[in-house]
Order: sequence, then structure tokens, then C-alpha cells
Amino acid sequence: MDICVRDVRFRYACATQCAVSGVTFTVRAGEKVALVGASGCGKSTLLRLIAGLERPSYGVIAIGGHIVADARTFVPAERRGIGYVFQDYALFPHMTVAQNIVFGLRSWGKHQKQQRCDELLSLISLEAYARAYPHELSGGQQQRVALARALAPQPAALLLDEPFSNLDAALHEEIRAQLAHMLSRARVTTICVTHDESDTIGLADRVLHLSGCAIVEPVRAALHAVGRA
Amino acid sequence: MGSWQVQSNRWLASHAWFLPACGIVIVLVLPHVALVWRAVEAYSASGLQLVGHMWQLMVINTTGLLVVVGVATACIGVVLAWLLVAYTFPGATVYRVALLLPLAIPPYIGAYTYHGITQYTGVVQTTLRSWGIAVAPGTLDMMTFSGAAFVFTVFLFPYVYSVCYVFLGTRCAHVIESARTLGVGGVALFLRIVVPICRLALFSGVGVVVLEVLNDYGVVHYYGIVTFTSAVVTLWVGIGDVSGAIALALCGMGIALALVFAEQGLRGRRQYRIAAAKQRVLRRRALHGWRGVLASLACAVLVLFGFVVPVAQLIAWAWQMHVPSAWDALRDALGHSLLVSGCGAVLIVVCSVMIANAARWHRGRVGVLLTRCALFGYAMPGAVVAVGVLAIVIPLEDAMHDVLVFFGADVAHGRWLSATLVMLVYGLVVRYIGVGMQAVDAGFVRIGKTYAEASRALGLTVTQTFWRVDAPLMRRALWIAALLCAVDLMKELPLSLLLQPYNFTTLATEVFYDVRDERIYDAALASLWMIVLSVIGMLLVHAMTRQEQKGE
Amino acid sequence: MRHVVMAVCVMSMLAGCAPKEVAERIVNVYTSRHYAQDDALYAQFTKQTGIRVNVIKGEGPELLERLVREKNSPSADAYMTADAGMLHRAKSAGVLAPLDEDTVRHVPDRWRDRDRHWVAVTKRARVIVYNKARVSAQEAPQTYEALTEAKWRNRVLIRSSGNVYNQSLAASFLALWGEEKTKQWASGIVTNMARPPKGGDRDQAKAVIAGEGDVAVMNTYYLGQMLNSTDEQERLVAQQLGIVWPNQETTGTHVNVSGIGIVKGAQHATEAQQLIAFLTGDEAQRQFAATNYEYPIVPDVAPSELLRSWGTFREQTVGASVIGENNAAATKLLIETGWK
Repeated sequence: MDICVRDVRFRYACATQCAVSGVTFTVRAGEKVALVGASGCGKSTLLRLIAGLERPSYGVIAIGGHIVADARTFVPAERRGIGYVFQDYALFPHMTVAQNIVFGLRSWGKHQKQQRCDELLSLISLEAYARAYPHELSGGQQQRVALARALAPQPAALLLDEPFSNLDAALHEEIRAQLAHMLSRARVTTICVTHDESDTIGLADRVLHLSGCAIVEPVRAALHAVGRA
Repeated sequence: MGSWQVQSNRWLASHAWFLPACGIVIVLVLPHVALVWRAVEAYSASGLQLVGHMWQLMVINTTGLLVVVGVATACIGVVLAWLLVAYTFPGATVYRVALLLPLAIPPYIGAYTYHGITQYTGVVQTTLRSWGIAVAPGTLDMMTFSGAAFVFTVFLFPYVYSVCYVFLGTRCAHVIESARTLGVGGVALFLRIVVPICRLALFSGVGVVVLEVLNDYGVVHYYGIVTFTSAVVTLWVGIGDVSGAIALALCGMGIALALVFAEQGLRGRRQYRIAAAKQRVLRRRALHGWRGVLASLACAVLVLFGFVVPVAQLIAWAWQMHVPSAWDALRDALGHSLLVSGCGAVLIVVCSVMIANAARWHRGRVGVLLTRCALFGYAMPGAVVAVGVLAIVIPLEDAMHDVLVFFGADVAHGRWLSATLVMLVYGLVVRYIGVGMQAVDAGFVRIGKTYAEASRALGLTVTQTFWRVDAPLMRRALWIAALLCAVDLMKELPLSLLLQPYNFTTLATEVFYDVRDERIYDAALASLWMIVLSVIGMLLVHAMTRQEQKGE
Repeated sequence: MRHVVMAVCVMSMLAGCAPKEVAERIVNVYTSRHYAQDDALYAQFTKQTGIRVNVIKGEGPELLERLVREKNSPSADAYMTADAGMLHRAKSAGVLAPLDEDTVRHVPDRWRDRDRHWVAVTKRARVIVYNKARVSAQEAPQTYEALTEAKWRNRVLIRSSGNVYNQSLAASFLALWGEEKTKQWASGIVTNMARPPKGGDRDQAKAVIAGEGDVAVMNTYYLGQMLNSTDEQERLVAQQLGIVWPNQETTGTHVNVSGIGIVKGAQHATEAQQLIAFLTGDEAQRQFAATNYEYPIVPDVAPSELLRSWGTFREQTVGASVIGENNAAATKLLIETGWK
């Protein structure tokens, strides 16, 4: 589904400066976009705004043509249906891998849950680890579980926050290839945030540069998308 | 020869913390060993047979109280913590602090006050009578099992609330957010994520509550409820069977410690320690409409019952006394209270740091054993701990005198430990080191080991690392530990009563003298002072906890 | 280094609190009595004799444990506690030394230990009170035994068996009646209780007026306290109570004592003797009686006006030593009958 961000601004409660000021861009359905920028330029905050974890102080966010955040409306995270892979994965420490993956499938039947879980475990090639606890896995494995968990409820879009920051360099190439492979199989609108442009090769159809809290992209397409909504 | 010296120096340097820590632990465990000795030495079955006559009641009441109060404080604590961490609603900022205040009132004072309020001559019944409403005798009775459970719950729930609040507020934001992006919110989020995640904090908070209830004597005795500790006291006070009483108390300690450690067995492979790359404070959402009012009301009720009502009653009693001269006697007690809790708290923190830091670098069984042994004192009634302390300190004095005489010194047999504050402070450290250990350990866990390891990799010893790296990072955590201990020591009663030096009254003993003689009105002023000091302590703890959270 | 500085600071603070070892004459007392009146009397004693009184106030059994530990070289010179049972326990623990005959000559035999290990200082009577509105003076139980009669079923209020006053009451019955009858009496009381025992003496009185029961057993001391309470409601309650001196026709009303003894091996035994002589002397006795609602031990001193207004009464003839000796047996007996 389309994700459309128009002139979004955001400031943290005690901060004097805006973390995000006037960002506008559009991601078309099925597109894979990488947001690249120096650290501290508001990339992660932008993702949190799209996911509904923060409320923008100004501007409009629309997903699939529906406005999820503007001056009046605010759809909270749990009702946006967007997958989010956190920088530190945030796997639930008290649940097994399988329990983590099916966590978001609340209204699904038992059988369907099992099926979906198996599907995703094979996608991330961790079939043998269904009953392991997160702390028993390596960093790369944890990341794959986090990805599977985010993909499980078939989200409208997938947001990846610095997917390579916690992984050691030796595995870097391999994991990037795996991730690219899995994402292409999953066929879902994706926004990936990273500080290193070389990480985006194979992962993204398009790269957006975020600098000085502002963007960076032909504005017309974005306006057009919102107009349609 | 030379290489041996180098080796032994290195060995000493690497054990510079371990050996003193072992020494401290041994000194702190000695009274318990003495207790075992005392129980075995003059053991007679007759006392315990007597307990047989009331064991059913004792077991039912004790487990009943533990379960009811444990569950109630756990529910209240975690629900309030979650409400205040995740939401804003009318009055939330005030409640965040106000919900800590019930800890300033010791349950025994709370019990007397609530009975005073609800009894026949109390304000509730007299008001009702003046309106012509007759209250059937016994209906408003606080002195029942449920009354005692109410008193414990209302004054002890902040132990659970405070740990859960800090834990949820600092370490769980990302886990909760990821649950939200997966479409889980509201009650489901609370039950499926918040409660399980809180489990560790919940257990440590409820653990403290359980030990407090188990070792309480003031409330259950006054309310006429036969429990484990009241059986211990009956054996001792009633028929003078000290050994039997100690044997029973040791059994109790065994059960209490088993309960506390059983939780670790139940946890299995699951982990509750959350490793987070970045600690983010959870973004609060506003509760609007009736939800906000309901949340606000829930907090208000607890603050009201746990603090405002009893304090108001105490103020009314103090006012009614109108004896300004009481201040002179109180001034001494006030000074003594500050002195004892200050000295005790500082010593507890010093010992805790020694033990915790040694255990930190000495992973494995020995390290764990060190920290566990320190908990013994907190798992037993204060009066029993005091007997153990007496049994160590007095013979020590006698022995020292004998040694001096043997070397020809002509000295009077001075009670230079027991007639001074030394014995009292030693006893308090033995009893409350567990509280300090918990807080200091939390501090060490919070700063982690990486900074210290970096420092050691740069060639600093454990001691240098402690002063240059750990101590500055731990500054606030240590203050918090000291203040928490000081507040506890201020309220402490049975131990001070038995180990105090001559002409020495604290606020707590002053309250006890009046209350024991059923002069609750006279006790009001001293109680209020104690509460004021404790409130100041709690507020400082709160302020520092907040600073610490912001610092991250 | 900082450790050392801290340690020195702590030690010097602690040392500052130690009693100063000068040539000053002192006497060290362990007491379980916590009354302002006692403190005032110590001050007067110091003024009269120049002997300073150092006090540790605690609970009787716990202070006794401290005395037992200090046996080799006690720091206390005198041990004062409420209840004959406690005094006897101290005696049988072997921590008390006999008093000089001269010190206690003026105290009647009944109010001192048979081996002069302790002497009583004050006494209190355990009486029956009733709700004047619901029970007439004729109807009110005139003896402790009458409380076990069927007509008082569910109407009797009394404290727990853990309370020393009840223990001593039973101990006196053991001496007067023997084990069998005492046991019957205790079971009778348990059957007639209006509610499980709880609270203090004042709470029993209040429950009588509140209507939870109709008669209560309480100590004269607390009745005096209530009548002069700062709380108006409490005074009202006390005024509605009728008082019965039980067993006037038979064995007499039960009386319990506070007492004091000298610690074996005391360093300031002479001073302690002086203190005891002072406390049992006329002046101190008069003050105990006047301000603390307690009865004097010495026959020449009259009780306070309030106590006199309740009338004179016949006391049990059981000596305080006997009550003390029977205490442990009595406590066991009470617990065995199911008295909570």
C-alpha cells in the first residue's frame, strides 16, 4: 500500500529543536525504499511517526489512501497494521521464537497460526529453533525472528530500523543478501532506515536522502497521492 | 622467591575485594549461627508441643495473610505502575509521587490508627451516632483477618508499585512498542506483555511484602490474629521458651527463603532481563473521559487510605493532646533516630558495595553465596535477630576483657559495645543489609560491566576502577540505597528496643512506649515526626530515581 | 583512605554516646515500664542522692534475655518489670541477687519474693466492668467464676491468653483452686466469649459499651486512664461502665504487681539498693498512686482520690511469688483450653 508523508514535523517533549521538520515523500505500493542519512537526523523518528508510535506535531501521514495522522485524527500503532523491525529487535524475552512470531495473529485460528508460523520459519530458515528463547539465538538469528514476527500479520508495510547496526561485519554481506532475498519473497512495501548507503544495494528500489531534517524528493508525486486520498 | 612475592601480591590485589567481602559476610552471618546454637543448646520439645495446640490456626492465618496481601499488592502495584508509566490522566503527576507515601507509615501505626478511626469511640461511629444511625456492634470492626489484610495491603503496596514503575518506565519501552505495532493494545497488551515482562520486578517487590508480613508482630498481635510470628512471640514471652521460639523462627526463615528462591526455579529457561541497545522512555498517551476519571479515582483511593486518612487522624490526635512540653522529649528521640538511621544506612551501603562488587568480579557459586547470605537477616523477626546479635556481642566483650586482664591490664569490665551504639548499629546492619544489597545490586546491574571492564583493560585494578569508574556512575544509586535503608531503619522497632544503649529513645521506641500502654493519642506526635522524616526520605528517593532515569 | 576516614567518623560518633566513665555515682536500670511518672521519680532520686539513673526501656522478656547473656559481668544493676510472672522468670533464670533485708523491711511479705530476689513497687487490680445501661448492679457477676455461668454466654469480653495480666489471673487461680477447677474456669470463659480475644484492655471496655458484649475483665489502671483521657468519647465510655470488685465474699480480687530486683554481680549494687528503697518509700509511693492510677504497695500510703472513689476492696491473699511461680503452667493451661 502507498505510504504518503506530507510536510511532517515533530519535536520531542523537552527538546528545543525539531527532530523532524517538514518531511515529504511517497512510497508506492510494493516499492522498497531506503532512507539514508547521518545519524541523529531524524530517520528513526520518521519511522516511529509512520508506525504510529509518535504523533506528529504538524503534517499528514496517509497509508493506503487513508489518513492515519493529521491535526485531528491519530490512529495509534496497534491499529495501523504496519510491521516494524526494531533496531534492537525487541523480541519478547519470555516467549519462544514460535510464540513471538504468532504474537500478532490474535484473531487467527490455531491451525492457521501454526501454518503461518511454519511458513515464516521456513522463510527465515530457522525451522529448528521454534522452541528456543530469544536469548539463546545469535544476533543475526534474532533479527530474522524479528522480521518474521513483523511479517506474520501480513502488514500493509514493513519498517526496518537500522537492520545492520547490531551485527558483526563478517556476517554483514551474507545477512544483507538474505534480507534482500526474504523481502523480495515477501513482496511488501518496505522502508528501511540506514546510515550507510552501501547497505542499500539490493535492498531498495529507490534511495531517499534525509539531510538536515528535511527531504529530498520530488514533491509533486507526494501531493498527488494525498490529493487522491 | 621474587616471583613468589610477585605472585602473592597479584593474588592479594585480585582478592582485595573478595577477602574483605567474605569477612563482612561472615560477621553478618555470625548472629544466625549463634541462633542455631542457641536453639539447639537448650532445646525442649514442650514449647513446640504447645505450638501444636494452635498450629492449624497459625498455618491458615499466616498463609492466608501472605496469599491475600501478596496477590492484592501485586495486582495494585503493577496496575498502578502501568497506568502511570503509559498514560496521562488528571492528577497523574501528583500520584506518581503520592503513591510512594504509604511507605512512610509503618503498618503497626497504621493498624492502631485505623482501629482508632473505626472503633466505637472513633470518628466514624461517633459521627454516625450523632446522625442517629446506629452501627451494629462488630460491623465496622478492623480487628479481623480482613482488617489486617487491608492494613498490610494499603501500607505495603508501594514496594511493588515502585519497582514495577521504575522497571516499566526505563527498560521496556521498545518491547511494548513492538507489541503495539503487532496490533496488540489496551488490556491484552497489559496481560500478555506488561505482566509477564514485569515478572522479575513483581517478584522482588512482592518478596519484600511477603517478608514484611511474615515478620510483622505489631499488627497481628494487636488485631488478635494468631500467625507464625505471634506463635514465636507466645513461646518466648508467654512461657519463656527462648530456644523453642528461635527454633520456630529459624523454620520460618527457611520457608521464607525457600519461597524467594523458588521463583528462580520456576522461571526455567525464560529470561526476563531485557537487554536494550538504547533505553527509551515510553511515550505516554492521554486517557480521556471516564477512563481518565476512573484511573484518577483508583489512585486517589489508595493515596487516601494509605496516607491521607491515617495522617489526618494522627494530626487530630496530636492536636487534641495540646501538650507543647512534649517537644523536649521528642527532640532527643528525633536526634537519636536521625543518628541511628544515618549511621546504619551508611554502614549498610558500604557493606553492600563491598559484597556486591566482590560478587560482581567473582562470578560463580561463591559470588552468589555471598549475596544470598546477606539476605538472612531480612527473613526473620527483628527481635529474634537481636537475640543472635546479643549472643555474639556480649561474649565478645567478655573475651576481650579476659584478654586484657591476661596481659595484665587493670581495666574495669566495660560494656563498650553493648552500652554504646555499636551493638545497635551492628544489629540493624545484620537485619537490613538485604534492603541495601538489593538497591546497590540494582545499581551495578544498571551500569553494567562494560565500563568497568574497559577500565580494567586499561590497567586499573578493581579498587581503582571502583573509585574512578563505578562510584561516579553509581553515585545516585548509592544515595538511593542509603535513603531507602534510612527510612526502613527509622521505622524499625523490635531490634532497637532490645539492643539500645542506656538513656536512648528513638521516635519508633517513643511511639512503642505509648502504644504498648494503649495511649495511642500520646503516640501521635512522635508518629507524625517519624512520618515526616520518612516522607522527606521517600521524596528524595523519588527525585533521585527520576534524575537517574533522565540521565540515561 | 576514604574508608579509614569514614570509619573514624563513625567510631567517634558512636563513642560520643557511651556513658562517661567518671567518678560520678550511677545506677543502671533495665525496665519494661514506660511511664513519664517513672522518669520523674528517677530525676527526684538523682536530686536527692546525686546518683544518676541510666535506663534502658524495653520489653520484659527481651531485657531478661539481655541479662542472661550478660551474666558474667552485667551492665545493668536493677531489673524492673510489670507482672509477677516476669519477675519470677528472672529469678529462676538466676540473674537476680537477694535484696538487703533493710531495703525492703517496710514492704509487706505478700508483695515481695520469698527469697527477697525482688520487691513489688506498685499494684493494679483486675476487675469486672459492665454496661450500666444493660446490666443492673444486682445482676452483674460478682465473682470471676460467675463469668462462666450460662447466662453470660457470648457476653464476656477479655484479652488474649498472651496477655500477662490474664496469665497471672489464671496463675492465682491455680494456687487457690488447683489445676482441675482452673481449667474448667478457663474453658467456661472461652465458651462465653463474645468474640475472639483481641485488642487491649481499653478495647474490651469500649466493646462493652458498643454492645459487642456486656461484661469485661480489665485492669483498674486502664479504667483510670480512660476516665481522664484527652479523648472525650473515651471518657464517655468509661463513665457508662459499672465496676465490680470480684470475689469479695470469697478469695478476694486479683492483684498484680510491678516489681524490681537487683542484678546478680551488679557493679553498683549499693546505689541500686538505694534506688529500690526510694521507689518503695512513702514519697515515691504517694506519687505512683497520685499520678499513675496504680495502688501503692506500702500500707501507710493512701491511693489517689479516684481510686478511693471506687471503694476499698479485699485482695487475693496469694503472694506475688506464688503467682510468678505458677505463670508458665497457667499460660500453658490457657493455650490448651483454646483461649486464643
